[in-house]
Amino acid sequence: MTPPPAALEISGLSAGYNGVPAVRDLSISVAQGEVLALLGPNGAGKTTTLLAAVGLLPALRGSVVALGTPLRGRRVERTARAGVSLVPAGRGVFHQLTVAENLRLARRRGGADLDETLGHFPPLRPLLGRRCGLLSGGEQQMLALAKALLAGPRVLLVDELSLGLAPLAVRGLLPTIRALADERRMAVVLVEQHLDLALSVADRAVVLHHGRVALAGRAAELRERRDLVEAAYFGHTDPASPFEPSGSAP
Amino acid sequence: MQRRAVRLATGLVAAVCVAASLAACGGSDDGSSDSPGAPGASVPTGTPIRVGFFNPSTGPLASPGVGTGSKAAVKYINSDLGGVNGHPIEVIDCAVDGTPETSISCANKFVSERVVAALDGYNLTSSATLPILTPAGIPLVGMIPFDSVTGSEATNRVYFGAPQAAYLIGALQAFQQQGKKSAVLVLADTPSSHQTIDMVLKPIGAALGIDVTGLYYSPTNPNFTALASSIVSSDPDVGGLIASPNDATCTRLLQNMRQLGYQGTVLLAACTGFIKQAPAQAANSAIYSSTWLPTASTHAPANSQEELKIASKYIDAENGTADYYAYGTFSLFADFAKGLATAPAAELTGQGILATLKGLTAFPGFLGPELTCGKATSPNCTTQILLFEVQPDGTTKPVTGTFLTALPDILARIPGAS
Amino acid sequence: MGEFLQFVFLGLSTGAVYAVLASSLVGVYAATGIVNFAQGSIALWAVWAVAALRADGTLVLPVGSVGLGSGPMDRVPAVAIGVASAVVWALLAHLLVFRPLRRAPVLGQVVASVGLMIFLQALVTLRFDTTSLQALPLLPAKVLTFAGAHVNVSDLVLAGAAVAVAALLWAYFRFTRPGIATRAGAEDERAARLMGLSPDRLAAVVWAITGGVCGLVAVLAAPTIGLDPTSYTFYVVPALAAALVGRLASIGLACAAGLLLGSFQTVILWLGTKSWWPGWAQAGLGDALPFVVVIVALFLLGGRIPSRGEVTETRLAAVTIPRLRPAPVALVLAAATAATLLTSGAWRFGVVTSAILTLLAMSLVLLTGYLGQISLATMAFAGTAGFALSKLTTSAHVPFPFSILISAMVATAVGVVVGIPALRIRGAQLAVVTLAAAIAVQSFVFSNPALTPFEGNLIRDPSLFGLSLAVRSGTDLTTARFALTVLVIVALLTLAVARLMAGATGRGFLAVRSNERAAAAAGINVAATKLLGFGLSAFLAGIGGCLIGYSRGQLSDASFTVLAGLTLLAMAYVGGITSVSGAIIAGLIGPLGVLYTFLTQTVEAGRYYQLIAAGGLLVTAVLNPLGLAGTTGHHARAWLSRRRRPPEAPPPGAAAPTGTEPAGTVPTSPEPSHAA
Repeated sequence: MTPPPAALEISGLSAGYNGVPAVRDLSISVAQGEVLALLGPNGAGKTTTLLAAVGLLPALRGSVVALGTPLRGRRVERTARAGVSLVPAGRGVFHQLTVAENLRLARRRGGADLDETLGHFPPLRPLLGRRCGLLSGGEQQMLALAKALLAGPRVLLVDELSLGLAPLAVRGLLPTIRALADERRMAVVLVEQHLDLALSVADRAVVLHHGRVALAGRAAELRERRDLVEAAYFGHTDPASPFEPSGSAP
Repeated sequence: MQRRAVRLATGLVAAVCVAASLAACGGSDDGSSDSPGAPGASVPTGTPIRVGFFNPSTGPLASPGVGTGSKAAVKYINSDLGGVNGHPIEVIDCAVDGTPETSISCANKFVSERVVAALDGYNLTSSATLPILTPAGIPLVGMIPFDSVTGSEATNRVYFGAPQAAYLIGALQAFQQQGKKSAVLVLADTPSSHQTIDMVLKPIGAALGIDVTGLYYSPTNPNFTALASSIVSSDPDVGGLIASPNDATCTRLLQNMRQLGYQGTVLLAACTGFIKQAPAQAANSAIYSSTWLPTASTHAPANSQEELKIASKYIDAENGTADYYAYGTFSLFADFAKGLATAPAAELTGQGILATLKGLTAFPGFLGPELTCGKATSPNCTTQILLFEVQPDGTTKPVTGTFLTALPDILARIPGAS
Repeated sequence: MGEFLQFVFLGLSTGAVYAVLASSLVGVYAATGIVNFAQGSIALWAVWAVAALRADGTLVLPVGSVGLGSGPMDRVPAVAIGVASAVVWALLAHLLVFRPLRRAPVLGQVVASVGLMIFLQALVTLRFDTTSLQALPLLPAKVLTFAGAHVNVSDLVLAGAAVAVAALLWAYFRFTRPGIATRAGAEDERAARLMGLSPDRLAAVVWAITGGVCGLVAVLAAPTIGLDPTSYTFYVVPALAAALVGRLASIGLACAAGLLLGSFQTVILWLGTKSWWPGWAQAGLGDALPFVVVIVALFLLGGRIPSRGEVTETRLAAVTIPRLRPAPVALVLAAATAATLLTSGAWRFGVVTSAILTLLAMSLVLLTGYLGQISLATMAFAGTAGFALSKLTTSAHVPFPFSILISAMVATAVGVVVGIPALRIRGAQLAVVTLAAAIAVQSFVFSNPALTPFEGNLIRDPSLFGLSLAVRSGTDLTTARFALTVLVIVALLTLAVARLMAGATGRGFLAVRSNERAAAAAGINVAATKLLGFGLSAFLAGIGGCLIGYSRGQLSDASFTVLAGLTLLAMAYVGGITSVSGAIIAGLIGPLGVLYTFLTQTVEAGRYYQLIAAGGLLVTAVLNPLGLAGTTGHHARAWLSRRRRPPEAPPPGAAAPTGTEPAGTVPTSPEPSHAA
């Protein structure tokens, strides 16, 4: 039996700014229902990868395929409507609009049910009439996730979920993502600075360094080998490590 | 991308220029003469007399009737009259829009085209042309000088109609005799209007003892309801327009004034269209004119009726605007041609033409009064006007039965009017 | 009291047009971040289209026309088609002009908007029979009496329509999903796209709706206001004033301000008929009012106008620092002198006018190209000097060189005054201020009969040491002496400005243009630099205005119209607003210059001039922001450098997206939101 097609397949991707690549020849694949943690120091190319995947950054080379549909060259809106949702680092909520209006914009035919989604984020319910600019960081992050999930994506990309949030808040959100990934067979890519949190919910992890894969492997195993992860952060890849430097390891 | 873009852009611009030039070549001609088309008498064969014509055909105060009159008149002259002693008239038509710029540019054009005379089609800024025409020896010939500066001197110009002041004096003196004591009259807001109201209307009102107020309306956005309200609010005995470039303005104003319940006399410049357009409101209204008009033909003398028939034939054949300006311009051309024809051996140069026209004495004006030109202080050849009252049967009857002479001592107060 | 109320209600007809234009401006700004100067022109087309349909059933198209039926069309289908035509123009504007310019610098967007404004106006003048068409009555002609005032039912209907439109737009943005999505996109375009929303499609919807409602209300108001080929275009200025009162964010406020402004203008008209009203305030005060409103609104509310969140930062057009090398300079001077001496009559007049226009274009290059301040008031500066010259030469008999200098100083003073708002206001808002100022000056100063003597604004011919430098002499319409005098003045000033721009002042200008805060941090006095820029620019324009005066002998309000100023801006942009050679090209192609003379004399297509100018501007703005001079220069340099050394293979991965940068560019690169 052939394995089901990867939910997200990035092959040989090079992308960057003003013609200078921040990510070189990157190949990553994420299966349906799998949570992939994308790690690495500042400037490694994590955000660049996500932006290039949805089309906010033009890819210099390589391809991005989501559920069999090639995404490269498409406009961001079409990619989003095709089922690839990105929660950007700035959260992407509209401060001038109310929570209800934000959610209303996110709803789509064939997407998730509003009530059910709000059930995953109970603190949002009493805040429906409030302007988003007045919400706390944690509440805004919840809203950002709720918006992304309302669209019923098959691929969810989350950039720096924990940025600016108290660890307690993050600890509440990540398991939700894990549960939803399992429930809806949704592929998730988590770009994270917070190693432990990321590795605790992920299936696999990839460490980027200077735009290339420095380390890849199962999250459970990488949790045991923190030293290798740290080394990868500094760019030292040990040829004797059991973990593949390429991103296509199972 | 940029190279392609530049090529595309240049290509587009070039294409537009070519298209425009093709359209222009295939389209209207705004140049030369009308060939003497109407079948009739002798076809003139002499060297053409080239005259420039200031035609107010564009701008917010455009008078379409002027162009109609000029085309009709040229056909009449070149066929029925056989030209001027065998010389056909060739008109260099130049559009003016009431601004000095266009007048100056047309005057420049006439100088470089070496015309022998320039005809003034009721141009509001004709004074701008004189510094150009006079040194070049080209006389300015018209019916009524709508630019008071032009009308204030006699050098190098001849006008076959009465000065502007005469119309106002004539109308107001008639109203005064009817016992009317107050008048509110409006004009389009242009510099020459301010001159008319400040230097002509106010002194006349003072001299005749009528309380007269002048108001202005914007040529580009006339709000006739507001204008009518302004006029009616002081309930004067007479209200209306001193001058109107087209019939529509008169009709709109009349309708608005009557709608506000105004019962007094409405003076509507030289318009005639309102009689058919708004018959119910046309009662108790008056108009003035330099020439007999078709609406007055039943009240006109026999020879004027004949002339009206001729003029109407040519003007109606043009299918343009057949208002006062058409007939006034027709008369201008006719007077010009017939006046020149009085001196068969005349030099057809600018100075020769000026001399001939200024020498006209007791000359029968076409559709107009007797003309005696050559006054030292005034370019006008008459001070007589026609003041009509609209009759119930839709005709216009002269108040005095014939031409009305403006009171000379009042006329004397206006420079260049007598 | 009754009379006062009567005029308040009378003003509701124009007020309704202002209100609906203002509401639409707010809507379009919310959807696209663009201040649409062409909103009035879109309504203009609809108004004339309906007039033509109701006259004889002809549907007039930009090219050609279609006879629909055999006689005049009934009012309902005619109005429907007229409104549809406005919708079509609005959508075309979005698709062909504003969508491609999403990422363009503000100058490009403003200029394109202005270009569309004058393009449509020129098209209307060419396609419709503007002398005989009438706006036939549409609304009932009933009159009510209310508190001693005669009130037209039509005026009430119009006001009601404007309020209904505002309510409709407000409800759209407030309650409907596309409306909310549009607001979201205005706040953060990237986030909106990430949600699958398409800001372009949402913008198209807003363009269509606003185009349609503007067309509808204008068509309904035209029988009252009157039909004319220009005024609806310029109604956008009071509409902008009203929209600014609403901070470009509140539709309700904009609508109310528009209605009030219309009433106020009509009340002023009524007061002007009173005998106690001062003579100097009788003409044009109503047109000067929007300018006052704009200034007050921007000073009080300017900080609260929302700005649009952009996806990427915009890149300014490259500026060419002028380098004065003797050979090209001598070549140009020789060519100009030859052109002057070898031509005569109308052609020589064209050459002289082109030289004067070069000066006016230089003023624009200085202010807008180098200093980055968008000003639409060049003609106002030129005209101020021209009118001052008239007063100086006729009343005070000031002799030749001093007359020009003093007049230009007057213009400089005006320029500095206009520059004061620029200290706090920038971009499209500054363009609005300068446009409103230009209209105020044209209506209130140039057209004011109290300031114009009856004979017109005559200008005595110049003479130097007894030698007459008059433009005309006998049958010589443009004397060689006058032409050469103009050339000398223009050449000296151009060289002086080029020297100035190549030095420290020029660098200061460029710094302020790129980034005011950074310039201030580097020690540049930003306020002084801006005022200097406005002053210098006004000085140059003033000299140009004086030369125009001398070349015509007489000035009027038609000599320095706002429309001519906008056409000149168009040509300056096409020629290249960022270089001296661009100014020279602009002079050649500018109104009444060499190209215009060619079109009028040789090809007899002079009436198409404004259309060609506006079309050229649109094409340039959309496709090629460097202008003709910039692109030619760029290609020339590229060709020269290729000749000097063989082409190298570009380094891997270093694909340059937008071409090479000549000296003086300040590139900006988008930064990722977080380094990852």
